[in-house]
Amino acid sequence: MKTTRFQQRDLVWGILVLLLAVLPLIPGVIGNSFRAHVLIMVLLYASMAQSWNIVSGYAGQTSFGHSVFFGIGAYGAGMAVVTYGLTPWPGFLVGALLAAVVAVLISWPCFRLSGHYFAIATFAIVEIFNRLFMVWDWVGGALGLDYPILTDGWKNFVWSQTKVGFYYGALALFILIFGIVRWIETHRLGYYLRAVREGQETAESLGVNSTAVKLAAMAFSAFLAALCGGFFVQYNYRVDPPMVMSLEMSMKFVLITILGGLGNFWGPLLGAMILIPLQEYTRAYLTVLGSGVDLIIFGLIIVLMMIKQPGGIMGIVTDFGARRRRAGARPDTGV
Amino acid sequence: MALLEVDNLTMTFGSLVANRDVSFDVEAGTIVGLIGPNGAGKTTVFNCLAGMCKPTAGRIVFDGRDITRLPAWKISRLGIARTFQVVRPLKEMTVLENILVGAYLRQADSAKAMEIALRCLKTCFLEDDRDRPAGDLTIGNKKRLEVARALATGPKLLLLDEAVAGLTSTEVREMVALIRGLRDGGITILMVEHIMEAIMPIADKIVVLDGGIKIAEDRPAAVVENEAVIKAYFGEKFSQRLKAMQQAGAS
Amino acid sequence: MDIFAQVMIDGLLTGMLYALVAAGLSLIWGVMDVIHFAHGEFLMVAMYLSFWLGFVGGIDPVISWMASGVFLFILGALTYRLVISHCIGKSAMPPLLATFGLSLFLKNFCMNRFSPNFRILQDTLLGGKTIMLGSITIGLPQLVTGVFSVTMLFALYYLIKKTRLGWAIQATAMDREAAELMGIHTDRIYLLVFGLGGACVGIAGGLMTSYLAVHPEVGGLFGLIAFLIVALGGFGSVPGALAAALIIGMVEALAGFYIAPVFKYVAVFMLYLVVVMVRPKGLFGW
Repeated sequence: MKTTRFQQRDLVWGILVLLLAVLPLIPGVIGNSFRAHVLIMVLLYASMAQSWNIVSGYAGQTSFGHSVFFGIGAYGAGMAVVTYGLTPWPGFLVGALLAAVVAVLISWPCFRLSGHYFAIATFAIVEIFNRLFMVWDWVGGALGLDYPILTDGWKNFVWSQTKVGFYYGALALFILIFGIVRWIETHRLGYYLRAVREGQETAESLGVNSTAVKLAAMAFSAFLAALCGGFFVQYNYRVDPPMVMSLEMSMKFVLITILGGLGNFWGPLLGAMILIPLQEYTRAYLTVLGSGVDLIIFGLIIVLMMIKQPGGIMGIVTDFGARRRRAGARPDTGV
Repeated sequence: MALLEVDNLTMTFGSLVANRDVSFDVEAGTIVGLIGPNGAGKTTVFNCLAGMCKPTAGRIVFDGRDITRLPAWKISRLGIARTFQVVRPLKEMTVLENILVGAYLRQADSAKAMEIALRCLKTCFLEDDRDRPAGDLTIGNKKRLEVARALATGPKLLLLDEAVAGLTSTEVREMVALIRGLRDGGITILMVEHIMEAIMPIADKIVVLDGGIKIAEDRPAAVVENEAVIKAYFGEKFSQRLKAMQQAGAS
Repeated sequence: MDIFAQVMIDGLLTGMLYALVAAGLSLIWGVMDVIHFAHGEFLMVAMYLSFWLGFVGGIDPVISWMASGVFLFILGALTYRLVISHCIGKSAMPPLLATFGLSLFLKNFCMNRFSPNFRILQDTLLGGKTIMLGSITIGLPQLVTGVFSVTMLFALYYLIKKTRLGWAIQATAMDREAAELMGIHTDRIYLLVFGLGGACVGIAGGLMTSYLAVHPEVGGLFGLIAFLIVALGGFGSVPGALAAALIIGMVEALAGFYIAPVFKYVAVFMLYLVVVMVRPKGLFGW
């Protein structure tokens, strides 16, 4: 039964990727439209949320510091292009590796902290990085980095004529990150992550080096979040500290995943499919009501969501499944 | 040389002495029982052996290697597995997944780890509940899960902390049979137990703790007659009953 | 030496104000184990209220703090009744995220209604006045606000430690179920605690407008610093919050003066990280 469920999930996954891949072939769906922008954002934010899900969902270490890793990735690509006149590719790699190293260095002491203390430590780290980057001339300070005009294509990873290139870029990122998490989920690391979340001492009694497991999760998570940051800066042609390293950005990682379903493979995608179109469309259409209306609505939705369905959308699905399973199991167990 | 040698183990928490100079050996292939009244320091001994407490003084040698103060996960890798007196299922994982976590210790390959896990699942009679979240099990099955999960790590020495306490009499018999089967399969067993009916018939040796100090170490038949043990733990009546029980078992 | 003393005094006065802001958060955290993310935005609301009362109604902050205290008590109680009571429970995340949503809402609502501009009350009773202590200058509004904050803090401490109501709050903090069995309406205690938490920032925010500008982003930083103070002081401990707040106020002032103004908050956050590395439960926690 277990194995068939896994196969089903992989089939769904394959079909989804195939559909997303052929989408631009249908004329008028992608082009340079606003719809394309929303689709790209959904793929990007789903990927970000999934990278966060590794350490916070599967391993249960709630981080509010992921915008730091996202930002390091963004600055990696941005500095490769703007400061050093290279293609962004070495920047992607260096940024991601650096983010993983920073993540491990920060997390090592922080993992000893419990619950709220860990959460607040991660808030503090975001603020420290934000303020340091604001005054650090080498990375462009408060002004940030603005891209020069570049030729379109994969080499420079920019496309100004149509959004199809960025779409495939985002799709590649999405497939990479979801693929990696899928792999982790079905292998030893995935089981160890969940074991550490469910009971660290118990996991250790079963031979799990919980510190190493959590650090590995953090490193993976930060590496992938940084890749998303690299994409983000390419897409926006600029980066400055508040754009990437802020508590608000950190919260997006958290919110999307929790809205979709924490520690669930599909959670980040579901969350992004709901929150991101909402965010983008309200931002685009409600500006007539003045600035910040999109965020006013966004805030209200979060409040409502937490009141009505704190388990996220996957929570509804699993609740339903569990009720059905229990209802089905009753005749067997009845004596 | 014994598989496990505990040498003058002392464990204090502040001014509270949980164990003082406790020494005993566990020979390979035997079942050793660790008994004593509540608060005698049995679970503390287990915690020290399994690396969850760092002993204040003393030495623990396992399989010829000093394991005193090693972290729990390293001790587990060397071949000591434990169960918890207060069961600790990984609640939101299924029964099979719980056991898989243990199985991955010796086998990184998922398919092979799955084979080990399925075998342990079967050994501990948990097949009907394999896909159920571990948090939803009955107490009896949670106890079985503790054993199955520990077993999956492929231990040389299995520490069972009150594995039969709280079970129905049928379940107790099943568990005793299971433990004996494990021993026959080559696993050495050290068990803390309050239920004498479970431990006396299968143990090769009994170690008795009282107030953190070892007061006896002998064959079950001899322990039952030991004055100090009767005074500290069994009481006169119960000792008579145990003796009768053993004679009945022998004949 | 005089400069050093001046910086220290400024830091202490800031710290005294921080203490009152943090005390509200500490109470909520300690009793309910909830991270109240909108605490800073509540402060902002109190400041706006006090600003408009002064600007439109001509009521000076030395009077209007009472109004903002009462208003924020009600806002806090309402927040508990309408939001928190529906999502408090097993996990810490739903209340945290719900209050984050609320903070997003409040901040952007004020942004939308009142624009992002800084607004400051002119010609307040205390504004701009100073007293000289030797060669040290002390701002009168800062002094009054600081002293008053600490007074309020002691009142809160007295309430918790010495009154029947305070005992009920303590009992609820220790074990909600047991308190319920003892006949304490823990739901009402929670309501009250959230209200008191609001009243603390209401009073602090009301007083602050004598000398500080209000803008929609003002709450974020105060909220964050309040978190650090509570975590440093050990959650639920009012004296701990006071001590931690004074330390943070002084570190902030010293770093701002002797290193660079941009580093004053970096220093504060670093201090937090260093302290919790050494003492994972804060300075006064176990």
